[in-house]
Amino acid sequence: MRLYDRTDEEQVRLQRLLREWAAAGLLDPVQAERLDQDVGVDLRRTGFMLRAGLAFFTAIVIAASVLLVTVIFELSDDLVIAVTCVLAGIACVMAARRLAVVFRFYRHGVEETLAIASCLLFAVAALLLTRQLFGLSHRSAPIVAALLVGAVAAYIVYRMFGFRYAAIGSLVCLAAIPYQFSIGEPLERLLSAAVFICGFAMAGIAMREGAIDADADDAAVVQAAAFAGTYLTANLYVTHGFGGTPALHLVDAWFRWTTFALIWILPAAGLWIGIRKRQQWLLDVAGAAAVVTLVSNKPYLGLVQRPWDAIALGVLLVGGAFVIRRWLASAPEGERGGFTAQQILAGERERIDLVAMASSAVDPRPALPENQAGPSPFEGGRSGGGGGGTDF
Amino acid sequence: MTIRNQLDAWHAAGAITGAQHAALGRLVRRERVSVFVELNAALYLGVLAIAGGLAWTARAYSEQWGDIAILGPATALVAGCLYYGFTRAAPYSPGRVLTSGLAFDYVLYLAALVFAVELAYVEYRFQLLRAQWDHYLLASACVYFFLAYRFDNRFVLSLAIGSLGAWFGVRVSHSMVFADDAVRVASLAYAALAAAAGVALSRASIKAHFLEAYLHVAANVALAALVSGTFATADRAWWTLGLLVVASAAVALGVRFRRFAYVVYGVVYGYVGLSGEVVRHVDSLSLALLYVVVSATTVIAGLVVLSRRFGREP
Repeated sequence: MRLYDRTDEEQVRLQRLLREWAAAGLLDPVQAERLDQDVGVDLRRTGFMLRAGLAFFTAIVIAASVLLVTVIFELSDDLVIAVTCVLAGIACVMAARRLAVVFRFYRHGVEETLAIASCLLFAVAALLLTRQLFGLSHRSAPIVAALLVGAVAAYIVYRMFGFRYAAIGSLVCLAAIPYQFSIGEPLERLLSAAVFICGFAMAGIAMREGAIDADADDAAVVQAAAFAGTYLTANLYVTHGFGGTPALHLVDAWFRWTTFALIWILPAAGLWIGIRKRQQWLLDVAGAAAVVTLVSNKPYLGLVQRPWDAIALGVLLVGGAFVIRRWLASAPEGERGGFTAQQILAGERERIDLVAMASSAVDPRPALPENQAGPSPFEGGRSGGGGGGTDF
Repeated sequence: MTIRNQLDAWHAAGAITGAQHAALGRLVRRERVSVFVELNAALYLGVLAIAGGLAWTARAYSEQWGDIAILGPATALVAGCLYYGFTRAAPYSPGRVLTSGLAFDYVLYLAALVFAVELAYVEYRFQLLRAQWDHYLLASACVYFFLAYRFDNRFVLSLAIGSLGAWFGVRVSHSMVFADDAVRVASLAYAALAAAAGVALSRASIKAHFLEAYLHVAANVALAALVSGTFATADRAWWTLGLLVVASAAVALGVRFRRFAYVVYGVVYGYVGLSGEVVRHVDSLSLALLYVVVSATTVIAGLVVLSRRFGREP
């Protein structure tokens, strides 16, 4: 089913690694150049920004094309629009397939957007068809159908093109289905978590049985995403905050305390597995989940959050990083159990530089209450940035 | 053939040394994993949380605790961080300086953030500059630029560029909304100054690696201001003309210097501005959609050709 030769995909990965190794000084540039010539691969790739630009314009073309057909033929009937969506979805996936097979596009933005758009179009078609079929008698049926079709389509796209985000999207669609049945929050969350846990286990199997290293990489990302899904399903504070479901205090006590235990257990388990198997994606997601647990702790216990909680969290993070670095650095060759605090590849520094560049978006100034002595000079100002602004 | 097999083959053929084979093999087999990025992420989030918490504390307890209780610890923190920076830093060099420890960059970033909180707090409480409060922004920008260049700190540089933009009246980091012509003109002036300063310092070989930070901000601010001008009620033609000129320059220079982010900026902003103008003059919805389909397809074809001719494989 895969449109790309597995060897080609492994070679693409090797080419990227060769550049990273050369940039890190693990290979000298001439040597890396020579090895790069050994890695012959005819897949056409492009840089991140051009890929993003191509994806943006492809999405515009697809949306405008479907709308154009709808406007020209004055389509208003659900059934006809659904058929149009199906035809458009087939056209998209055929075009994506042709770009991949004939033109050898690989992670080029265009074929990615076409393939993902086909999933969305099929899902919309399923929604409209089911609505036509059931009318308003089964309110959740159209959404369930859309999620189911979306999940299947995304999985097929993953199998065809190997897009990791398609596999994750498929998992998320499946996990969203239990919420459509109004079977009570505990059961909904339990079923949803079960989907993510199945995804986690299947990714683990795929990681072990993957024929090439690229398979293991894909599976590791999907596994980390499944872990994140399981954690978010368990954390009532986070999902109640964003999901608009009933407030935390209205939840049954047994359910609340079970999930409270889970939000502590899951990050610990994730970190343990991540460290034991040296799965960096899982380690990162479990670490982030641990931070979210710290933030969720007080609201879960019904305690009021205080301003210094943030300071305490910051000190914990900084102190934790410092202790871990010292502990790793104090081992022979700065390495413990395969982990090191040292930078190995140049890409690691580049990622931090990117965050630094984007950090101009950070505004630490508090919104103080209005000064009784008169209007705050910060009020009505025009700007932001460090040191002052409209709403200090 | 897996990567491990390929490494073995290269080793057997003598293309890589035994030491290289061992080192690379360990990385591929995940026997050596770096948590460098994770530790940096923890430090970054930690510093943000501390500065944010301090600001929140100042907001909640300024009346109750008094100014000394707020400003005293904050000032001590800034002083301590700066002392740490000045005593641990490598001597100034116009080139890239490797930091003397994982936490070094973040200690300075913390000082800069807390300094921002303090300045805002002082003006809120004492209203020293009142209507001229914008001078705080310029002053803090100057301090940040000094710290960024002295300690080769990109986090503080971003704060400096953001504060300078704020002084110009550009709310760069929070929204790209430019309500009127005065703000748009100020934005263009800021973008020109940022780009010119970045290029001049880079040509003078003073922290040349900072150039990208200036140019990304300058390109986005200038193009966003011009695009917003094309949707204005008056003088749209001039703004559209300006957008075409700047977007074309971004594309041309991006291609010339192989910096494709600027090509994408030029194409996306240029397309949005120009399409807004075209669609405004089209009465029929189907014609407008047809225009979007044809023009966006043309852009895709152009970008694909561009990536084939000039783009490098990632």
